[in-house]
Amino acid sequence: MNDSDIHHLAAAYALDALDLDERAHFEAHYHDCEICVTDVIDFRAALAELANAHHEAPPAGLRADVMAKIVETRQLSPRVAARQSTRTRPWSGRGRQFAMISTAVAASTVLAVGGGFVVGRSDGNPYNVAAADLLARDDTRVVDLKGEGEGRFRVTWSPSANKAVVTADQLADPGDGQAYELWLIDETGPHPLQLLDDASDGDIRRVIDIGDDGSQLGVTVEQDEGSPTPTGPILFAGAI
Amino acid sequence: MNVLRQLRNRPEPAADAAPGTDHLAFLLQRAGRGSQESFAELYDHLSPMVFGIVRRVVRDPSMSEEVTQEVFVELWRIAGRHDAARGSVTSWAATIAHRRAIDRVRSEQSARDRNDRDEAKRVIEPDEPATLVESSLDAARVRRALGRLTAAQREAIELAYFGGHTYREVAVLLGVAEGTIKTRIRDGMIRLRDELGGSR
Repeated sequence: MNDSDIHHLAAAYALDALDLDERAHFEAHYHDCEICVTDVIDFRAALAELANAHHEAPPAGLRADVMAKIVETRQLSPRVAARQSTRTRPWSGRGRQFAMISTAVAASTVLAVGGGFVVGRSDGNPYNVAAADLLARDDTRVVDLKGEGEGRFRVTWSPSANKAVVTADQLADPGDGQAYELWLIDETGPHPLQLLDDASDGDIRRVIDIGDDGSQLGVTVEQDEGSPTPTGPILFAGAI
Repeated sequence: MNVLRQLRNRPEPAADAAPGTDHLAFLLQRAGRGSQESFAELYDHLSPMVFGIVRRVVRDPSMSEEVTQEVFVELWRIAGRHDAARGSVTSWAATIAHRRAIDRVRSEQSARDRNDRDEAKRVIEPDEPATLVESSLDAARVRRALGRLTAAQREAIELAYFGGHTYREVAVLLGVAEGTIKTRIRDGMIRLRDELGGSR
């Protein structure tokens, strides 16, 4: 998709009329594009007016239900502080610890084959244990990230476990001093999720901690220390 | 390059253009710091719009109620994150409500045949824009704006927004090329934005 094509998706994006992959690609693009940001803001304002004109009173009991529910719902910290904290998400550090364990053990008993996983014994390898656990859960979804990147990139994610496994095969060598980095993309843009610095042989087997506060995943190549914001093109993306 | 944008006559947001806008921002700010009373008041202002969006997209009454509740719990959760530079409180709430409703119907896709062209077309009456909105002053303004769109643009936008369809689905439903639908949606939205003044 070339650049002018992607600008033209702003209206469809504001209407939520993109399919999930296109939505991910657009979200990865538009935060840095002044034209698209302005367009989306303006289109959404117009749509809010359209929606307002179609208002409909909700059932009377709903207000009490909502108020009862919010009492037990923790709020996110206000925006300025929150933006800072998303740069160093606490769980990306934990993910890295998992990763160090994971790379120390051969992750060979779970393979992404064709459309599904072939699960072997859980031999104590964190990746295999996590994969077996995720595959046993009802809410687990398999997300194939798609894009221009070479190879296959799959994330198997369970919201109830707050955990995912990343499985990638036949990736292009990211190059000296560079590594694949996984991004969680939400309304405020891409946030660093996990540096995937073990892809020198083209394969990745990785357990990551992942919250439920994003809607898309993206993958770029960055310097191997990781980067606070994506600097390279989005090579793979998909909705979670 | 973007001549339309340069030429379009976009009025400055007048102080009285959006009565209550400042008040809603004030309520949201307080809600973001934990004020339940402010949030309750915000609910009273926003819930008819939110429910209206959800109801049209989701259709099923009890599921609509559930999704509306989820939307408000989410608004409460992220109240402190609202960025006024990215749109008004109303626009923010409409965006979240619509996204949540869409995500719900797409995940429930198998529960109903959303490719049924007749069913989908029942959502809109492209030849009768007057029936699209309820009667109120705002509605009259919106109806006038909709009247400036071509019937084809209006149809594509409403199938997408209220029908909950992707532009690709809209193309299939109408038997029209995807590129054509993209263009109708874009041109229609630009016109709608210009008619409604955008920046609220």
